[in-house]
Amino acid sequence: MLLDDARISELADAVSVHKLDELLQIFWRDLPEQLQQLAAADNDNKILQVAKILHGLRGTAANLGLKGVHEFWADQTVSVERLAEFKTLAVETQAAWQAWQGRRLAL
Amino acid sequence: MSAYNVRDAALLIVDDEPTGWGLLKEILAARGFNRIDIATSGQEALEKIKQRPYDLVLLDLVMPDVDGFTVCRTIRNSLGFERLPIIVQTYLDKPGDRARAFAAGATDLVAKPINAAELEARVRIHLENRAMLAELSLYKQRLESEMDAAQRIQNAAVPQRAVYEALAESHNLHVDGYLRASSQLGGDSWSIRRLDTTKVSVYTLDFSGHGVNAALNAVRLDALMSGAVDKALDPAAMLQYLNAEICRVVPVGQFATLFYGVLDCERRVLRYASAGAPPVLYWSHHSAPPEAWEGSDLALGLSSTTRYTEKTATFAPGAQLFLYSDGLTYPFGGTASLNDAGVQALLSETDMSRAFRLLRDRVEQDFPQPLRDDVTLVAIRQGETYAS
Repeated sequence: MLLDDARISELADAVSVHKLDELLQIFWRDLPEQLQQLAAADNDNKILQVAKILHGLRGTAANLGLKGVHEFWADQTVSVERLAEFKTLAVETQAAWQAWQGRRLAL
Repeated sequence: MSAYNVRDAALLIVDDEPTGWGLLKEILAARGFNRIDIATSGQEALEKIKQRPYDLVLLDLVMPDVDGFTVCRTIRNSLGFERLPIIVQTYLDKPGDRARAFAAGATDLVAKPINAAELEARVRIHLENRAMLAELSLYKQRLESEMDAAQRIQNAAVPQRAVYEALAESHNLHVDGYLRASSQLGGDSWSIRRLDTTKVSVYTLDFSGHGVNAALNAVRLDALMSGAVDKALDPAAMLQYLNAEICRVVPVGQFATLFYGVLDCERRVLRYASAGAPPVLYWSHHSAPPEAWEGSDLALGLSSTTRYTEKTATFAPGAQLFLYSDGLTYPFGGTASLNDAGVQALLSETDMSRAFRLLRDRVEQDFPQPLRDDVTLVAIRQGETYAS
């Protein structure tokens, strides 16, 4: 499951689908910079910095109902392969959100 | 609370994450909160709080540079906003952060991921508490101001120096009076007034209890006495009249002790009656030892059938009278505590004016403050040279 359906529904009820979409767009917009910072910190072996970035990323994802993103970084392991894998997951998650949004608006 | 709308409260959200503050803002805006400000760093939050008053701060703990713990401590300690509600956002899996947040001065926590209903409930509760505290604070200020005014009125109602000077001039009576209430308002009162060119009336009264109720009753009794002066009642008849009125208008269980005397300076006679008042000390001449007159009859307000007895004593030049309320002998313990025998011993050993000052200073300096009971002291001496 890429999305936490209960959480997404709760947020959509609380702020509207439209506003939730705006917040998610901000998340996707800022994500590449966060991933760059993560890769740089990992490259420089800054373990605390890596943990801090991942903590923020996972927290924001949980807050917005992005279950797949939250769980992906649970083991805190960063590598070039994992970063590439994550980018794919991010694209899939955006698509899942679009589909969820379409279903919700069709109701 | 009816006039206060929490939705008009000024809120400050402090979060460096756009999705973090954005979500909080949207949740609160969707619930009608219309004055929401954002700070995206701890430093910006502190600057904003310095510049304008907020009603509540929603604070993220994890931020670069100045973190939420530091913001919290600075708001409380350096900026001095001791009562500004600060709700911090924290993850449930970080119990250490929660304890640290409270130690830094947080008012409450809201768990992440943020639940809209919980967020609204916590914000609303703390805003309502803040409004109630502000109302209480205003009410307390108003009450204190009104109590101060009432205290000034009550203090002004007892005889002042001008009265003493007039009596010294007209009747060669030397008077000292002191009244100190235990709370802002007291149930004690006293008065001395000129009845005619030769006669003066004096009374001390102590209404049961303290505070507003006792003070209002004391004022009521003062008013009754003022109204009765024109009736030229003798002391026993005066107490009879007052007792009937008190029994009629004051609820059962409230009563007053009262000493009432009429000094006839020409005939050199003091006629008096006592309704359960503490002992009165009398000197036929200031060089003689004092006598203690015990109050024999029932206090006013206890029984409508009480009969009061009038007594008479000579009050020639050099005679003295010392009246005090039972607040002077309140058994609070400690070395400064006095009983009737102690008061009488002091007044036997030293002249009345000096004893008056010693007792007044003891009440002011050595009695536990605030006083447990109101204290009244009245000293009256007939000058040696009175002549009609």
